[in-house]
Amino acid sequence: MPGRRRGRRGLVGTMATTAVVVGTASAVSGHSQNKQAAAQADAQQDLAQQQQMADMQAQLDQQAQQAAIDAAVAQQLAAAQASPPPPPAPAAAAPTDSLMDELGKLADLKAAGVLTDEEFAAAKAKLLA
Amino acid sequence: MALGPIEVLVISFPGNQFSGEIIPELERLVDNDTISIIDGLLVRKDADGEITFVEFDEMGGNPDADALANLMNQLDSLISDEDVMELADGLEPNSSEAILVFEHTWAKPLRDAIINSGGVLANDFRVPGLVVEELLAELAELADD
Repeated sequence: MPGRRRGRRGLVGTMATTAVVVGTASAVSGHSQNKQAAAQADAQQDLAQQQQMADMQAQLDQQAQQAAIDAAVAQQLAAAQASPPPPPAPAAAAPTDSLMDELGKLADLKAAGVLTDEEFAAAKAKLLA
Repeated sequence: MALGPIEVLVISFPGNQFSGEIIPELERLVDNDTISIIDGLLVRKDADGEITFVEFDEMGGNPDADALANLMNQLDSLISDEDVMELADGLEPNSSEAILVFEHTWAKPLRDAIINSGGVLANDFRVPGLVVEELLAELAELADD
């Protein structure tokens, strides 16, 4: 059932993205503790290297994302230029809105018992005519 | 219940010779609560470099795979298909590899004891054995001088 492993984040992928954060945190806490044993300094250096790698990876990811965004924008621009401009929407939308309002008021009146079913149906028919 | 540290083990079998020889050792570790295997699967790379993967319980009754499936106390499918592609990147064509994700169960009582004692785990990292050996060799040389 390979399907359940598709289309979502996994352990390895999550590690790659959080490594930047973890690396930064360790490097920062390392700096604040001035006197460290030599072994710890080495470990810190390793962390710094890891962080550098993670940063590079993040940068690459960012570049890839930017490229994807650029492509999407270009596509949208091309589509916008190819198709005619949309009709002026507000003018068309206004009557629809007020119609919906009226229908809503009618429904409220009916629900409140002010209008009978027949009266509601008649008023609705008039509105929609 | 919080998990213990998680380790991902990738074991490759050149020539597609998936072998269950590690299973008795894994059974021992699982039985005495040293580790808990929380995810795992088998990855194959064919002669053309095409990567496919199967679950241990879907390997048509292969006894080794069934034994691994029985050992697993699967939490979820933690390894995604993208993870598989990344982990199988260096795999030779015509080879397979088992990916095992396990929890260091033994570390949990220790962690709880640390917390209960009012201690704070300030750092926790792993040093590969090779690094330690290198340092030990260096120290031994210094002692000889």
